[in-house]
Amino acid sequence: MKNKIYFDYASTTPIAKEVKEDIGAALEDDLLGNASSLDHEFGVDASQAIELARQDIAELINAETAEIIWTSGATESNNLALYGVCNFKPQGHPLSIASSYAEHKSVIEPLMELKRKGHRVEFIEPNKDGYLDPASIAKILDRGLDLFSCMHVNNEIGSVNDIALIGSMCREKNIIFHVDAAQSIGKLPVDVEQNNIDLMSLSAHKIYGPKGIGALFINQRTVGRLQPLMSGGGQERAMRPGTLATHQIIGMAAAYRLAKANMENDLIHLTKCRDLFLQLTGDIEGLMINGDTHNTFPGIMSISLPDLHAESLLFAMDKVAISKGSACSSESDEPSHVLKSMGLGREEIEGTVRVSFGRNTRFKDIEVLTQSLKKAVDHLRLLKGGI
Amino acid sequence: MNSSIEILKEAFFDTDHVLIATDETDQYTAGFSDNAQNMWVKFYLITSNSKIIDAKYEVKGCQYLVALTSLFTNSIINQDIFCLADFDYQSLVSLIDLPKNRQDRLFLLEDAVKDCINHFERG
Repeated sequence: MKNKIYFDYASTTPIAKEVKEDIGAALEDDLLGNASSLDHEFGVDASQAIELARQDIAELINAETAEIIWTSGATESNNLALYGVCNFKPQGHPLSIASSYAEHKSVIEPLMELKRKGHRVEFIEPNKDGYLDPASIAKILDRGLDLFSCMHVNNEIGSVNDIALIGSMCREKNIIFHVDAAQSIGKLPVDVEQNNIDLMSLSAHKIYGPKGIGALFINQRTVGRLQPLMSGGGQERAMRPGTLATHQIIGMAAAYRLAKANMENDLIHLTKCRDLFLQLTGDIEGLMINGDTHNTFPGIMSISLPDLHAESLLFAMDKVAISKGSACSSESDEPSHVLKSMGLGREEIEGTVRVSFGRNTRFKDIEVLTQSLKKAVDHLRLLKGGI
Repeated sequence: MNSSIEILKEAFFDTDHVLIATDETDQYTAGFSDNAQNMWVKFYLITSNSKIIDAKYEVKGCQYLVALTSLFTNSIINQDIFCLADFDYQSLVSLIDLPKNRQDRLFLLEDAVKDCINHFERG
């Protein structure tokens, strides 16, 4: 066990005890069968377990079980949603797609590739608080789009997009609405029916489930089918071929059941964590909170100390594990595209770290975190000749 | 023998040669360099007949830049300032196991030292 307190829940979460138990049970011989081998009871048992798990996922978002397709995670789900819609159309029919600059790279990069292939792709900027203004969305939807994609909760700053409003705007204009819910699923209520969502990417490891498994919700009435990314099997209604990972799927379902049961209490706990963090860091000179603290998911805090360098700030905080931002960009020296799109300057971006809380965060851990942060700030300011 | 991570940490937290408010900067020869990522190094040397009798620094940047600056400063006391031009910066690389994608920090340090030597030569 590492001798650090974990504050990187937006990157991934520890697997819950109940989830580990269910995965362990699924790895026993009773479920050894291939869920596609329905000629004997081993395969049938695995298939039944997977269908029960599918039901748990569907129930959390108010979908039909047939609308859930298993994938390897939200990145694959995002890719399948975007390429799947575009490639399903006959060649020579470019689609018109819009999204935002604040999206995860697993949305932005496929869209850039689709643009290179001839589709019309536009990106809108988030406002200074990191979420999409309805006016900007309305403007771009008026241009006659086929598909609009945005995230529910931003992975770097925790800003929350009003997906109910965006969903109704898209449905009114018959535009396919894709939501990347990797950071929000199981943490905030999402109802695909009420929110007029057509496609939604889901993850397991962000809510105490296993890594390597996720799902894509595909609205049967409005989308129906997608062109698969891979070929070579008929699994998942031929949209995602490959032998299903029974134990991972069962683990994801266990995590979703737990999330459903704990969502309200988790949210209250995270709000208290966020409030305590804000209270204890209020006296740190120059500390900026990125985003609007009232319209964000409380589990993610993005803070900037523009006079300091984030990488050395993290290094100086040797008792806690926090990150510079998105896990997908942490090895890169490139400034965060999300913060850039919100209008932050280079110094503000270079001095930004992300703190994320979770179900296991204790209030005394936050005291250690803030003490560690203050000590690190003092050290780095001393190195650069005082404030 | 300390591991490279221990050396990195020790150097990063060592503040013995950090310039403090009460230091009289007038008596030092100074050098400076910065880069596009808003990292910078300032060097201050006191010499007597070209022998370095004291060295101080201020730095803003990643842990590698801070540690390199600290290790370098500690190693140059009592050396001749003109020997700095031939300093073996690569020895610092292996000492802290500087990652390949952070090698540019070394150039930043080297440029600040060169700037200091230039100022010394100009008197």
